[in-house]
Amino acid sequence: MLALVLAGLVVPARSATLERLSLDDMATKSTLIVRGKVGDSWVASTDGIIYTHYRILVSETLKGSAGSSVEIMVPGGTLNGLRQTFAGSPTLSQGAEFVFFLWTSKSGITWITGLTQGLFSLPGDGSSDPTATRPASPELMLDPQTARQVKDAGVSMRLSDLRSRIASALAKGGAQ
Amino acid sequence: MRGRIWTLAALAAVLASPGSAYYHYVHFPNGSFTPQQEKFNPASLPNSTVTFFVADQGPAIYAPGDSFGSLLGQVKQAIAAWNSIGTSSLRVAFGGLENTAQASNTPGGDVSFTDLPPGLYGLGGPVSNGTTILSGKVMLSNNTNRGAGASYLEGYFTTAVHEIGHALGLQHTWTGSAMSVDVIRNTSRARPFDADDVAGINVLYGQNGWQSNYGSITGRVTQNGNPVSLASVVALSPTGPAISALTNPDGSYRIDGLPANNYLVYVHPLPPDAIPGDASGLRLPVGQTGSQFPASGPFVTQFFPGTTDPQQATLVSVGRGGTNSLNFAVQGRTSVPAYDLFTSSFLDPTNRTSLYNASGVPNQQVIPAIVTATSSAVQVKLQSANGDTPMPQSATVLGGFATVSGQYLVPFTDTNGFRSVSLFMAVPLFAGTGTRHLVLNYGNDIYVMPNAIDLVPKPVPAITSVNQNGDGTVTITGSNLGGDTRIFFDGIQAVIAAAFSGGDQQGTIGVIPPPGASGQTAAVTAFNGDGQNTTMLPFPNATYNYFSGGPAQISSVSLPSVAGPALAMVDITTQGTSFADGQVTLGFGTDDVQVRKVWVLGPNHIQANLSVSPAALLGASEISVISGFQVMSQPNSFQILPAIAGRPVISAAVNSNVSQQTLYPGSFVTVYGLNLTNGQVTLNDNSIPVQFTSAGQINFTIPAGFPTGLAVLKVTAGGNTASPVLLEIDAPPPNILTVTNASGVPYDATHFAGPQDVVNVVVAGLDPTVVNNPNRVQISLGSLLIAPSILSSGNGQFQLQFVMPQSFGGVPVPLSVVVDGSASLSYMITVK
Repeated sequence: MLALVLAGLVVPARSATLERLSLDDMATKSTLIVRGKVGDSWVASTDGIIYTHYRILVSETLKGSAGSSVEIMVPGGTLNGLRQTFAGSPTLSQGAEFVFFLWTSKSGITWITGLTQGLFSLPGDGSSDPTATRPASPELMLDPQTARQVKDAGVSMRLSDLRSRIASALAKGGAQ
Repeated sequence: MRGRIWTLAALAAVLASPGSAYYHYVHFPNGSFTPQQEKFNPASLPNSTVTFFVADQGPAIYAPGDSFGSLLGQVKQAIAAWNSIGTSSLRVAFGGLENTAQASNTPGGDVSFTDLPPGLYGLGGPVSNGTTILSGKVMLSNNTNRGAGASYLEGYFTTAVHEIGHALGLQHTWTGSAMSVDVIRNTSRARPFDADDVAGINVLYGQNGWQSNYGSITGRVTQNGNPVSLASVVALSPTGPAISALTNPDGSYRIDGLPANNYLVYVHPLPPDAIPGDASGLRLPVGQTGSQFPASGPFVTQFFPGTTDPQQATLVSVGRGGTNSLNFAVQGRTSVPAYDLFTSSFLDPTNRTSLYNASGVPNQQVIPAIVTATSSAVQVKLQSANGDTPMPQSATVLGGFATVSGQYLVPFTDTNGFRSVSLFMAVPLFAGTGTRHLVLNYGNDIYVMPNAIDLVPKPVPAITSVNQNGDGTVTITGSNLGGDTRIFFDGIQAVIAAAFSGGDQQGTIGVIPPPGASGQTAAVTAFNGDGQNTTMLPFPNATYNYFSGGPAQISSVSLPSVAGPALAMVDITTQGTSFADGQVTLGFGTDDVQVRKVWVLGPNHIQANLSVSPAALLGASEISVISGFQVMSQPNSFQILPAIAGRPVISAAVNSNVSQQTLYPGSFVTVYGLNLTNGQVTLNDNSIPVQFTSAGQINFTIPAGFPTGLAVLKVTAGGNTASPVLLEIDAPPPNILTVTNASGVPYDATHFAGPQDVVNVVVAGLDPTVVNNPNRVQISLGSLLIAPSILSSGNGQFQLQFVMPQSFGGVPVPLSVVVDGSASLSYMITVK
């Protein structure tokens, strides 16, 4: 099928199944947490799946070790006229600022933890302590303990509070 | 259970064709608002079938007790669910295993396993070329031991159904159906999809004339005379289905696929999170230049004709083949009062019914709310997915429930620190069963929740014992089981060996466990037709231990390669298997090879016909055989070779009478293919006289008296022999001897049948094995197909009985008996 897929323009669809993660879970399970702005982006294919690569220009590291920039991969994108998009995969606008909860797989792909769960947007209002916001995901979400279907809840808090929560979670659970 | 897991430019008054329901992926390529939806092209698919393959390596890590076989069972069932929509021209099949690097030229679907990040179990969707879907991609976590990931839970199945629905071209809707966003979805193993999903598939793939069995509602939604784009219009039967469509950019809408019924029709704005700024939500319709059409702003939800009171709404009668026209004029507002609400109820773990007041008593919360129909009252919890639940002034369950207000609406601070609302409501006598819809009144606006609660007829089922019998069957004993109960071993449905007997207090069902391996333990669960199942309440684990069965493996494959295109038979033997008819999946690892049918000849022996597409990609692919939990594969063991010039090719062998779907002694057979001029035919190596040949066709008759069963068809032409093909020779259709009324009086020129008559059809020559599978037999009456009861009447004759379902206005109607799709000669009766 790959041969045929590579022959045409592709339009995507959406749907994802998420595991509900608390903020503490997000902090401890992410391998890297940074505040940064979306830089340039490009598209490449890995293992038959098209990913959009974003360069994140890091202004603050909240967990782990990062240089001045981090490259992340989001499933979906357009490559050689081929476009593929997956459920819940966000499209990041250049210049937009977020707190990114990130996780790097054994194969070296750096994902956003929990897809949109690990993406806290920051308003470009110049505030010294802006509000970090993550809306509830409309995708299917399951509770990891009970296996039951649960509903996501959006999160909104001051960046300072978010820093504190992350630090507290790491202190309790230990950086992983 | 084990722990597992889219500016609407100023529009002049444009007269445009109303668009179809648009929970699809929609394009407006011609400048008008006649939508074109992305979809597979059935004509480009072998047998109009899209086949899904699963990556052969499976997950890297499994939850305790989980297995690849269980996972494959769930995927297979989800695919079978979509394939069960009989009005669709698109067939959907499970193709077994594939190498993730496998390339092919035929459209299809792929499920792969990836090292996904924490918080993400899977994701997927279709891949399209303009408006043609070329493939569906689903990525799943390669670790089912991450919390709720275990493959045998109901959530895995409903997720698979949802993801495959996307791959087939369906977007989200807001009716509680399989394709609804998660917050409001209400589907289960028993109800894997809803009328909304069926309508969505039929709009894409419906067979010619499918609309004649359904009604339609069309119209336009406007605000101050301007079109409203992407408003959701929902037809809601108070005690029946909810089917929706989204409006086009010109405000027009069309809801197709409505079963004949009476409907309340309402229009609501999409919730504010339906189209988030990061483009991760509903994909907006695309115009001629590739630009997207945005949604209009929020407005006040209203029932037709412009009321927020469902009691004042018009009940619209929709008939088969009819179209109603309903327009809405809505009023804008700055925001909606509520969205993303969901319901739950609380089950009493002891008597396994819904509670009226769960405060301070043991309970198990279930989402969405399950209400035991025999109870007098129930507590339904209303909760928001986005913080505090907006407090309604009143709440009404449609279909006979009294409106809840005042002291029976109780807000409280939930365990998550946000406000939830308890609805304490009386359950009316004769409330019936099935899903019901909830209308919340917010004073100047309303919020409607389709399929918000499930009315169930009896308590949650329980399994009390699982006992193995000497004949290899297993007896399941429990409470609140029934004739509609299905038994699962992990993720695989067991075959019923002995029908349910007993009562609600205690009953038994005999099943044949899916084949497994010695030492394996499977969780045994029961799922009732009302959607309730044994996992809803804590109960001692019901398990089954496999004491026999060794490692299963493929021993031989008679056809390691084939030159395409071809239809060819293959013979496969195995070790350690216990194949059962209809339970075996055979795959060749590529969409370019389709397995047409598998016949089980013995516990370790199968035969099949496979079809290699004309445009097949040459090269190797993987053979896989899946039976129950047993998964066998041989990577790169099958080769597609270049076509051999001049060699005859069989592409199909069918009954020349297109109304007959089986082959039987005396039937006239047409073989279609290539290079067939002057071809000679043998059946089981017996030469068969050929009555016609051309380059693309051979005709012959199966000799009278030819034994029934499998026969090998060989065609030789131009000195070359085509790949042999299996033909299933069935018993001829029966002969109708008499058709009488309940008193035994034959229908004739002076004796007419009438509606509700009990009609007896006596036949000879009926395949006696149909008694074990009565679904094989139907009575064809005019355009109707009726399932009769079958009674043996001795002398090799059978009496088929049915109730005349309708009047035919006193005209003669042809009646025939259909077995496996082949019909007897017609018998004319006049029906008043």
